[in-house]
Amino acid sequence: MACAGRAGKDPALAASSATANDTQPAPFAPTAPPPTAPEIENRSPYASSRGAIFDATWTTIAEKHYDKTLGGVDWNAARAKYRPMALGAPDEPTFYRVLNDLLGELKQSHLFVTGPGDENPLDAFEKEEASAVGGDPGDPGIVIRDIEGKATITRVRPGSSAALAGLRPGFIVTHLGGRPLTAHQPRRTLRPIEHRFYLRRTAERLLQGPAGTRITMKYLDNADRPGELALTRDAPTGQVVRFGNLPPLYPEFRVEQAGDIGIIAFDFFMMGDLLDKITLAIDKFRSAKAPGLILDLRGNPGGMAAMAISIASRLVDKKISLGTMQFRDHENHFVATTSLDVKPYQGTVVILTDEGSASTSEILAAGLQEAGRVSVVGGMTLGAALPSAIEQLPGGAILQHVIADFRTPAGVLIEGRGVSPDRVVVESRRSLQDGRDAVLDTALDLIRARKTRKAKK
Amino acid sequence: MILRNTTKIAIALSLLLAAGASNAGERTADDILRDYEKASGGVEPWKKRKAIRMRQTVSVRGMNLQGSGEIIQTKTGAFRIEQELPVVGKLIKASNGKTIWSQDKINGLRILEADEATQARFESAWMAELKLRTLYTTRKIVPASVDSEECVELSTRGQPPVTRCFDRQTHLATTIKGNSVSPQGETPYTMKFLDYAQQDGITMSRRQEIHAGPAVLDIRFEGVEWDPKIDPAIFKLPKVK
Repeated sequence: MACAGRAGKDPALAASSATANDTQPAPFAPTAPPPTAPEIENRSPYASSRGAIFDATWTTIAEKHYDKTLGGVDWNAARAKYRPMALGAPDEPTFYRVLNDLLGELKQSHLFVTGPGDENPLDAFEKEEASAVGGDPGDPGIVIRDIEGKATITRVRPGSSAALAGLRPGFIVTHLGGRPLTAHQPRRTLRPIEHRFYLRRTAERLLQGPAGTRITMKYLDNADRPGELALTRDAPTGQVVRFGNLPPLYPEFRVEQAGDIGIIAFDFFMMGDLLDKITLAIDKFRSAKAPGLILDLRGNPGGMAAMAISIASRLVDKKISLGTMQFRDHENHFVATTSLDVKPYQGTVVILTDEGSASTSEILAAGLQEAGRVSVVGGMTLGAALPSAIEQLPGGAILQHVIADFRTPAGVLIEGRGVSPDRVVVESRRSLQDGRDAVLDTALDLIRARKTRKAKK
Repeated sequence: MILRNTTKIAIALSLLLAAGASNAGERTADDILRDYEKASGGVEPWKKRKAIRMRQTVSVRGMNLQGSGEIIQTKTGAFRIEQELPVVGKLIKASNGKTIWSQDKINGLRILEADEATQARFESAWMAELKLRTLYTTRKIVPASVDSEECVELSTRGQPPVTRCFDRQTHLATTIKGNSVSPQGETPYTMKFLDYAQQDGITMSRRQEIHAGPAVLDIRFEGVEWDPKIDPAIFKLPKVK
């Protein structure tokens, strides 16, 4: 089951794309004997399974990565370099960091491994609360993003503890969880958009935790007055989705209307109930003859790749290609085609994107954009669109690994590049302070202008 | 003119002789398939039957995904294959003997055509395993990768060829290699047949392992029911609102 999205805690370790070089022989042999491991002190209850986890990670990449040459990376040498470091790691977070460094040699997104003992470091205050409460994962209901170079609240969920505490879009967050809020970054060169992405992701990770626990925050309000509070993490409101090795998910889904224009927002691509809700909403706007439909994919990191086909099929009246997945030994075409039980929506469609739109969001946006079916409005997308699988390894570890490459019908590789919006909207703190959503406003203007042009004709 | 005809006959005869000489003492593809039919139990157990329902469990290896499946086939050519995975939902392929259709959350409700329809019809035919010699127009022996097996490539117009291998001793099927056709293109797969057992006179594989691209699916047959009560409506193309 190809998943173009995130797994575990640090999902899209996006980087510039590795280039497959078919003319080179495979620089590794999966049967290579492991280098002699250093003696391991029994410092961790998980230490005995480290060798098996390392070997399974290395072998899975060697045997299942779509590019047999691994972009020219000497995988045997990588094993020789990282295995002793991994086995000799003083604790599990370090062990998994070394393992992720091994994966980082491939310089691609959707490569991540985690497992028992690889917990987030928490402040003493939070650790105490987390152990006392436990339970479902929650968050206080805010989105923090890099706006004009500062960590800024861009969205406050209505009714959330953040809203009740008086936090508003435009506030600047200086500290979160007792530490200055800066992006946790991998040890490699990042593209500018990745800097913005990692700040958002770091904030998201810190904000998430067991429902009922609190997180401290220092901020500057919209008059730049400093403030400090402890925010309670609200229990998730949506229905939990459990799929394979993914952690329990609570996809957020919103349907709104701006006049006669429909807006559908969702923060993960997951079939089941969520897909049913999306298709029902599209059908509702089709029946209501809405002149425009906005798919808000901002902050949507992806999920089940095939869902791009399901959604695109509801927006086209003829067969189109969204692109091609190149696997190790075959390719699959993402073809969105009409089906007997679907009446497609034929009005204007706009997709909203930002630096948090990745993977399946990018596949859907790029494919429909190239087909001329949608306009993309907002910010550049992340450029992390490699289909992946999430597998369980020995010792309870979970590995997300790349299984295919993805190119648009025109042959454009999205990985490391992203989707360029048709209308780029640069967001400002000022517009957030004014309570405006500049990206959404631009999309609404675009649809209304088209509606007027059509009416004149 | 006479000379030309004579030459033609001579060439034809020499070809026939050559073919005969090369085949002398060697097993043909049909010999292998005939042995397989016999090893499977032959047509006898099927003669009194009108329909079969097989229940299966499906799991995707290493991905913590488990689902279920059901296959219903009738003597009249109707069939319905239904598989369900959590979140992904139901995947249905069915036919009332005339129209072959499929329905799933990705590609919606479709009438299958061309290669996809032919493949579904072949895979779901009543006693399909005993009809390989008639279903496929071209059958030829191909080299096996292990000495204990013998392999046959089967092809016909309208679908990609498949290679089936059989155990030389038991004559039972060991693997099928082919390409599965869908709107997304052709996906190569290898299906391994494991755990053979007797079931009402038929020697059936109770467990199958399917390698399709990077995924490995384990299919386990949980039960077989002969001549179950079936609502014929399940084979019909669903009505569209």
